[in-house]
Amino acid sequence: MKPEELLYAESHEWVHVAEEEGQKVATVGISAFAVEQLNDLVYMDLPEAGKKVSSGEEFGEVESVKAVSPLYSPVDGEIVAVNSELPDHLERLGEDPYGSGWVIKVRLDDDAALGKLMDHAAYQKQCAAEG
Amino acid sequence: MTQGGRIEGRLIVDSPAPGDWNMAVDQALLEEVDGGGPATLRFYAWDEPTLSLGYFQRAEARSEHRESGSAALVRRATGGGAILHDVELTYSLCVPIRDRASAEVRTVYDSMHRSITAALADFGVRVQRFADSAAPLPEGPPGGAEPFLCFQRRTDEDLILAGYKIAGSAQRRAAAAVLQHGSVLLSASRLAPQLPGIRQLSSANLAFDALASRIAHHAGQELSAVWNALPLSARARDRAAEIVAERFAADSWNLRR
Repeated sequence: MKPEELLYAESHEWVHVAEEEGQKVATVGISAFAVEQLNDLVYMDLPEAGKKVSSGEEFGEVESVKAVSPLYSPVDGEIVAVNSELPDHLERLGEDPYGSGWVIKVRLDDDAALGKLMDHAAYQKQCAAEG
Repeated sequence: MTQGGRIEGRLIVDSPAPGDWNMAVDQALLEEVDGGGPATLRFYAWDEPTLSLGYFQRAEARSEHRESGSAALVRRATGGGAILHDVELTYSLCVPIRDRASAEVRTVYDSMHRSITAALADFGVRVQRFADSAAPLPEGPPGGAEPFLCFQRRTDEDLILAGYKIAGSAQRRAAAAVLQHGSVLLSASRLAPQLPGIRQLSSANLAFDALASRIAHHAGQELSAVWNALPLSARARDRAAEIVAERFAADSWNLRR
């Protein structure tokens, strides 16, 4: 996926929405900026498929340099797939954050949370202000 | 709130308490600061030798350190390796942050460790960051795995005295605040005899209250904060009691991995 075509949460998760069997499914990952800033990820905890998530709610955790940070869901819905290989291959987050480094897929309840997300240009501005 | 350009923070100095209570108070303070409360610096100790596991460590890895087998156990919410808390000064610092991924979060390690370095220097104890010291990396387990004990691991910010780590810190980040807690090893524990403390490595026999006071002084300068000495609020105390029951006293948390 191209980063320019994705939506972004303030908390640095990216979202790509696609239509699957008539339903909207969001693929969620962690932006390259956040992966770089979190620096040297060593552990990751992910939820099970089937879990309901709401926008802004924690759905997983990562550890980097002795710091545990939550991952926040940018959307509302049900987790339908989890990249279960990822915790054993955290290098994928750095090497391919918008591809094989995807984290979860969420079947959306509705589009409401998508309106709060940023496009790539707006997200770039946020990152530049924080860098 | 600010006073002369400096933020007003809370300073809490606690009596020794059980591990589940100590961890729950830190969590309650993180929640308060995450909800808009003032920066809070807390000093505390442990009422019995307690092994704290890093958040992602496996409980069964405890068997790698038999000397601490009789110690009470609690799992921290922060990362890193296991710590045998006995004759030490423990601190927690909760500060508001703009963003958990921003570079400012990592500078909290440096700020607190500079404060501890300056406080120890006030007592004639000269420590260095691991990155600035000539201390070798201790030998770890075969296969390149990290040692079980935090004080046998090294990161750049760790504080080194005579080749040994005597202070280290770890973090739990929330959306709008970070909790950092850390340990200063005042003296070796009989349950972790391979880890000398400041008392064994220098002639200094540091008193908890005096050291806490100097660290708070230097941290006030580092963080541009004026500390108001306050007891834990009734609300935070009530919340900590809830957190003990639902998390730090529960096997579902302590033995979750």
